[in-house]
Amino acid sequence: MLKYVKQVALVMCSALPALAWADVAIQVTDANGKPLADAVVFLKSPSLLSRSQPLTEAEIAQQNRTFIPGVQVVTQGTAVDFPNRDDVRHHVYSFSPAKTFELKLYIGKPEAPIVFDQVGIVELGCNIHDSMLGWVLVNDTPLYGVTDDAGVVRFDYDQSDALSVDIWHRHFPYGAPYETFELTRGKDSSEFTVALQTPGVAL
Amino acid sequence: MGALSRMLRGRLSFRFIIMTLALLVLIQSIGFGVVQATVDRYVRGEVQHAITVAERVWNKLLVQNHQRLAEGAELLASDFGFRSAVASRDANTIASALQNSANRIGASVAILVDAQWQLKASSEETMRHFDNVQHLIEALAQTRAKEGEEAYLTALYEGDPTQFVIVPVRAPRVIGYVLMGFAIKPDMIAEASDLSGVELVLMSRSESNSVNVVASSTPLKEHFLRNIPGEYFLEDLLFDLPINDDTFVSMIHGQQVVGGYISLALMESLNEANQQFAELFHQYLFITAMGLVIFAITVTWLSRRVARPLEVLTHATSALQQGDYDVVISGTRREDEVGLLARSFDGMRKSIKQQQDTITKLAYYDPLTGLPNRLSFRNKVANLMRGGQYHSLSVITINLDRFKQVNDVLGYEMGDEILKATASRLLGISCSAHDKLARVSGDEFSVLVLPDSQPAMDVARSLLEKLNEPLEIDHTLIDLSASIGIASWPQDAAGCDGLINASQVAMYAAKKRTEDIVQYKQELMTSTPESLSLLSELRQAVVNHELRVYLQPKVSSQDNRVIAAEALVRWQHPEKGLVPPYQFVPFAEQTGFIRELTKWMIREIAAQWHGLQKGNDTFRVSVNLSTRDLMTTSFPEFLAQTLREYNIPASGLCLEITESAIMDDPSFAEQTLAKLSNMGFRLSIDDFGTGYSSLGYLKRLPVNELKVDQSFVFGMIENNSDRMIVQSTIDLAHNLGLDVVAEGVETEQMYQTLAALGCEEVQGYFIGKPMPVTDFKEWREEWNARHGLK
Repeated sequence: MLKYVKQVALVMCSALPALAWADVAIQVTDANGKPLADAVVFLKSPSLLSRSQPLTEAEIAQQNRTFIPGVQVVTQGTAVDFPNRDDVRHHVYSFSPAKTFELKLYIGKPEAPIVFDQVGIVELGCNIHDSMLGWVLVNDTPLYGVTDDAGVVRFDYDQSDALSVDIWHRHFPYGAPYETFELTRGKDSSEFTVALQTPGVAL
Repeated sequence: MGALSRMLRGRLSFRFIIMTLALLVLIQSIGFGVVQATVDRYVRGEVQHAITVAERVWNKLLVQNHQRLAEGAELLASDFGFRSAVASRDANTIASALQNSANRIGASVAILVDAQWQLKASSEETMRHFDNVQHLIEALAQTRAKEGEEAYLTALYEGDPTQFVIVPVRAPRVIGYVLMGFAIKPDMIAEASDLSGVELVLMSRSESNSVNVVASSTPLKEHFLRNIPGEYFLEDLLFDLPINDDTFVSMIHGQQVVGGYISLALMESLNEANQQFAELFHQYLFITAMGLVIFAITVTWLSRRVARPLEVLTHATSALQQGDYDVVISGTRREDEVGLLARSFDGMRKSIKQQQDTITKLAYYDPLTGLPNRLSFRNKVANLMRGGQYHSLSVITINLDRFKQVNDVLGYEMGDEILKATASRLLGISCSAHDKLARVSGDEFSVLVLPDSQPAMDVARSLLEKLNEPLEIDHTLIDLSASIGIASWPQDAAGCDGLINASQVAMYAAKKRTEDIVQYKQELMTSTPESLSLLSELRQAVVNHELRVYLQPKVSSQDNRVIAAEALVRWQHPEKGLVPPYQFVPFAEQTGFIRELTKWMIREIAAQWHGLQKGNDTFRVSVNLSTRDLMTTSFPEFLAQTLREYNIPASGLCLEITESAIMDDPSFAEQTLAKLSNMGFRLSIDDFGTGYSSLGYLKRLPVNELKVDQSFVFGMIENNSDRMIVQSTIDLAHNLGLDVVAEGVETEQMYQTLAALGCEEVQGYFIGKPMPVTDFKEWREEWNARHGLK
């Protein structure tokens, strides 16, 4: 689990170097107010949505019967490659409504990448290997972060327009959508706490 | 019942048979009971074992079913197509996919729920609308949460007991669950029943109280459909359940399940289980029945072998009891105990017969001579008298003379020999054959003479003739003589005892008179039964002073002096007048009353003795003593006492004893005579010459005089030999120092002759007949005057 988080963080750092300055801090807790680590928080505002573009390069490789990365965050419309780096065939599928697809038994790189054109959570599995689990988180904002052990994620955001967050956690049950919170900012306040209500996220 | 117990008591064989058969039945019954109990226990054990096995089989079937269902459901849930269909979110598609899958694995229902256990689709479209389906799902979900994913889930679905499996649908995480229900069908019950050989009944009661029964047999199904006690669904039970004439060992497991209750009954028919032993029991019964028949026959035969001879013996016993000693006893040739009994019984019979014969012989025959005895003879005579065939009979009684002396002198053995010889001699005469001859007492024989044979007197003569022949025994010649009496019926006696008595009386008369043969005459009868009254009259006579003393004078032949007198008894009977002595003295002799007479006589004489004395010389009075007087030990003392009482010298009395009186018991007589002689009495031998005593013997006796019997004196004048006898007797007596008295002197000539022969005293009618005492005194005066005496 920690491994996936690091990978996500890596992706974020490389994708959003301009947002280095922090201004908005959000703490995510479970329904009981307990800080929740490893929650993926999408920061959304009209300005951010307008800046959103599909990613040019994204892939979820299958290596050692594992999806790498386990959680791939992409913007709406991104085409994702599913290269098979194992010497066995995989049959990658998704029954998630945001993107239902299947890549039937293949080796190497499939003929075409999968385009994720709807915002939503796409849960990936392999029909051959039940233990393989992965997610593609599709959203229409380019800005997202992952909570640390204190359940806090910080964003450098200097705009003052209306803010909202979409939050996902891997403990969300199958089919559960992002949990969305409107952030009402005060004059100086840029720190928020949100409590997830979706069942299944308590640690 | 009473009859039966009587038979049991009465009949040994019957008891034997009943007891044996009862015993056999008892033993067989016990055996049967033990086998039955064992078989019952065994069967029950087997049944319970079978039920346990069946339970395992059933559980295994359920598990197998569950596994099959689970595998199928899992396969289905992981089928990509199915998952695709589920993912399609098209309810109709999902429902048809569920239907298809259910059909594929034979499930009765397939339900899809989401991860939150909300009903999404069902193989049966209509079920979606029922709330209880959601309820069922939640209950199953709870049970699964409680008991784990591998839990075996049973529920009532549409009233049917249904096995449910729940498998997750992954995409790849669990996106929902497929619930598959597998209704437990009759064929599964039938399969389990076939595998285990035990009846299975699956009952269920839904929450709406609808009852369903699935059973391996129709009767059981019908039974349980009628009524299922509530506890069947709640408890585990083991009990015997009677259904339609059969008993089922039943194990019931009740449990609450989702949607209601189910109960599984595992049942085994005891009848069926007993079936295999039924044949054994039939064989047992058959063997018992055969055994009873064989036993009955064998025991009957055996008991007949035992009891039949016993019955025969019993009959023989009663025959013996009735005196039939010739009864045939069967079974004596058998070699077993019965044969032994029969043989010893037969031995007993023979022995009794022999003893009976001996007794009869002893009773009716004389063992010495083999002749009939007195009793036998008497019966014969009585029978002949009663028989009516003869109108007259005679009895001859023969008594051997002097037999006592023969016994004394020659010994009893010789006496017996003589008796035997006499018997065979008498038998040798045709008219005294065995059936007519009897030995009636010691030396006495009787002969029955029938009127169709010779006259009795002739028979008597020929008998006498035969007896008179000398008898040779042990080279010794013995002369026998006998006295014979004859009596005839009906003239001499009315009955047989009277007749025999009469013949004996005649015989005694013959002996007394030393005649050979005496024909009975009425006068002889002194001891007949009629004379019993005579005895009492005689007693009365003594008391009433009817007896008189008569004196017959004795005169000295030398000087005609009256020197003595013989006292004689006379009976002045108040009615019969003067009774002659021969009519009562022999009788008194026989009855022993003579002792009283003698005593009376002596006392009477003693009383008058002094009155009879005359002059200086002692006047002697002679008294006759009988043999009984001599035999009475106290007699000398009586004499002494009487003499003392009347003050009479012993020499004043002369005691006359007959020769025969002495000869009855010579040694005792000798003693008494010696005693009397010592006392000073004068002793005289009466009737000398009639007996057989020799003078040599007399010499030893302390006697003083001899009285020559009148029979010699009578014949002395005409008969020279009699005179010689008298002469020589007198001479001998004188030589022995004895005086001689002659009696029966009737004439002057006799008197003179006797005087000439030296006879000291004479007595007789020539001198004077017996006369009363007063007459005697007058006669004496007259006699003295006639002969010029004082």
